[in-house]
Amino acid sequence: MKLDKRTLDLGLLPVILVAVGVVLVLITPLVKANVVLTLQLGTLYVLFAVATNLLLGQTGLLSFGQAVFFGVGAYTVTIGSTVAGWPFWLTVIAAIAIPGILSALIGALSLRARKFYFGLITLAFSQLFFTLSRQFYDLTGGDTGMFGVDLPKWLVRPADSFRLTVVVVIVCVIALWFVTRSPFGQTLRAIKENRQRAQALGIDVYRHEWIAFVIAGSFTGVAGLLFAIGQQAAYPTLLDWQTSGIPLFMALIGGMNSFWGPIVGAVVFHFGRQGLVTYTSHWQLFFGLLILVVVLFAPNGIAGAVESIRRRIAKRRFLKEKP
Amino acid sequence: MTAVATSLFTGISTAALLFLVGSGMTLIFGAMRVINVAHGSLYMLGAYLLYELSSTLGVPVGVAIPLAVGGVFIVSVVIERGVMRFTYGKEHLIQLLATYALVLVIADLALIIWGTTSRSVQNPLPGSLDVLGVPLPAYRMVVIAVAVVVGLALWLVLTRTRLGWMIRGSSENPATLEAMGYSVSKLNMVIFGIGGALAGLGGAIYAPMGSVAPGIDNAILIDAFVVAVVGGLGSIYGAAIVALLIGVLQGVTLLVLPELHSSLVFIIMIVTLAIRPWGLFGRPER
Repeated sequence: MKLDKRTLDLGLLPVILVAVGVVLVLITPLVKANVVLTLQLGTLYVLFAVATNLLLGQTGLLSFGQAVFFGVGAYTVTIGSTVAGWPFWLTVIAAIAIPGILSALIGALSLRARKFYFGLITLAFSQLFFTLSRQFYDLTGGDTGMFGVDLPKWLVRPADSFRLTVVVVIVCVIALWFVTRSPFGQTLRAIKENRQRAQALGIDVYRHEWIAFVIAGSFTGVAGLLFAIGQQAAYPTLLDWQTSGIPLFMALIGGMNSFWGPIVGAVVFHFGRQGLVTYTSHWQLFFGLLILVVVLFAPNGIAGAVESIRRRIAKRRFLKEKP
Repeated sequence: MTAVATSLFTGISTAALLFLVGSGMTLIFGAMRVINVAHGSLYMLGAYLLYELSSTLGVPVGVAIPLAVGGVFIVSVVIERGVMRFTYGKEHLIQLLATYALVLVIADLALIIWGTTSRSVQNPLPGSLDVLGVPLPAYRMVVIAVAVVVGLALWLVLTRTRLGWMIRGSSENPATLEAMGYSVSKLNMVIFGIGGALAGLGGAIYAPMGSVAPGIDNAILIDAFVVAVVGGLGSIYGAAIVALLIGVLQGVTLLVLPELHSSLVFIIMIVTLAIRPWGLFGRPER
C-alpha cells in the first residue's frame, strides 16, 4: 500500500489509535497503580480535548463552558451511585444523557450570542454551575466534593478502569473522527472559514453550530464519566472556567486546526504537567508562558509545526527533482 | 429600617467598586475591541500593591492608593507592549486565549510572592457617619465618592478632550485615525494602561474593606464581565447603571433570598447575553 497523503488522512489515524490502545492495555499489568491512575487521567483528557476541539478548531467557537459537561458527567456518576443508589448501568446512562440534554439547552441559549459574547455566556454557565455545586451541599458535598464511587466488581481496580477508559476513549475519538470527516464536519469548517458565505449558501449556521455543541458536550460528558470512574471523585472545580481552559490549552498546544493536534496536545499537557509538578508547584506559570508563546508565535501548535516541516521537505524534494 | 438602609448602602458601595473595575473593561473593549480576561488579575495586583505599600512600608493609605494605581498602570502598559500588541487584527480567539494565559501567569506570580495566606490592610477610616440617624461606614462613603469622581472624569475625558476624541475615533474607524497622523498603536497603549489602572484602583480601594488572597482575581472578573457586558461593552454609563443595579440587587437578595445571592450575577449575565448580546446600552456588532 502506498502511503500517500490521502490514505494517511482516511484510515491511518484510527489504525494508530487502536494500535496505541492495544499497547496500553497490554502493558497495564506491568505498571504501578498510581501510574495507571495518571495514565487513565491522560487518556480521558484526550477525549475532553478532541470533543472540545470540534467546537474550537472545527467550528471556530471558543467555549469557556465545556467544564460544565465534564463536571456534570462526573457528578452524575458520584451522585447516582452513592446518594441516589442507582444500579451502575442506570448511572452510566444518566451520566451520558444528562450532559447531552444540558448541552442541548445551554447550546440553544449560548449560540444566540456570537464571537466573544459566546465565550462570555459559556463562561457564565461554567461559573453558575460551579456556584450551584458548592451550594447544594446535600447533593454534591459542597466545597469538598464527593469521594468514592460504588463500582461493579469488574471495574474496581485502577487497571480495570484504565482498560475501560482506553477502549471508550478510542471508540469515541474514532466516532468524532468520522463526524469531522463527514459532510457535516466539512460544513462546520465552512462556517468557521466564512460564516457569512456559509449563510449565503443556505446553510442553517445556528442549527449546525448547535448540533456540534451537543456532540461536543455529550462526548465531554463521557470524559467526565470516565473521570469519576477512574479517579473516584467529583468536586466543584471540575465545573469552573479553569477546567474549561484545560481542553482549550491542549487543543492550542497540539494544534487546533488539525484533528490529531488535540490528541498530542492532551498527552503533552497532561504528562508535561505531571513532570513539572514533581519539580515545582508553579506549573501554572510555565504553562501560562508556554501558552502565551504558542498563541503569539505558533497559533497552529505542534500540528502546525509538523505540517510546515513536511511542506519544507516536499518543497526541497520538488526542487531537487527539477533539473 | 436601619437594616434595610445599611444593606442598601452596602449595595451601593459594592456597586461603586464594580463600576470602577467594569468601566476599565468596557473602556478597553469600546476602544480596542479586546476582551481583557486578565482584568481581574490587574485588580488583584492593585490590592497586593496597596498591601505592600501600606502594611509593609507604612505609607498612609491615601497616598498608597495612587501609587498602587500607578504601579498597575505601568504593568498594564508593559502587558500591552509585550503581549497585546501582537494580537491586534488577529482572531478574537487569539486575544481571549492570550489574556487567559496572562491570568495563569499573574496568579502564579502572586502566589510565589505573597503565598496563600490572606493579607489585610488597616482601614484608614474605621468609624462611621450618621446619615439621618443611620450609622454608615465612612470608608465605604469614600469609595462611593471616588467612583462618582472617576465616572465623571471618564465622561469628561471621553466627551471633552482630544484624547477622548481619539478614543471615540479609534473605536469607530482606526484606519482613518491612523491616516490623519495619529498613532493608533500608542493610543491603544494608553487606553490599555488606563483601563488596567481602573482595575488596579478597584483592587487598591477594595483592600482595606476585605481580605487580599488568591482567588480574588477570578471573583471580581466575573462581576466585572457582568457589569461591562450587561451594560453594553463600550458604554461607560451602561456600566454605571448596571453596577448600581447589581450592587443593590445583591444587597437585597442577601436579605430576602440568600440562596440566590451567589448565582444571581451569572443568571443576569446569561439572560442578557441570550436576549441582547450587545448589552442594554451597547450597540450590536457590525
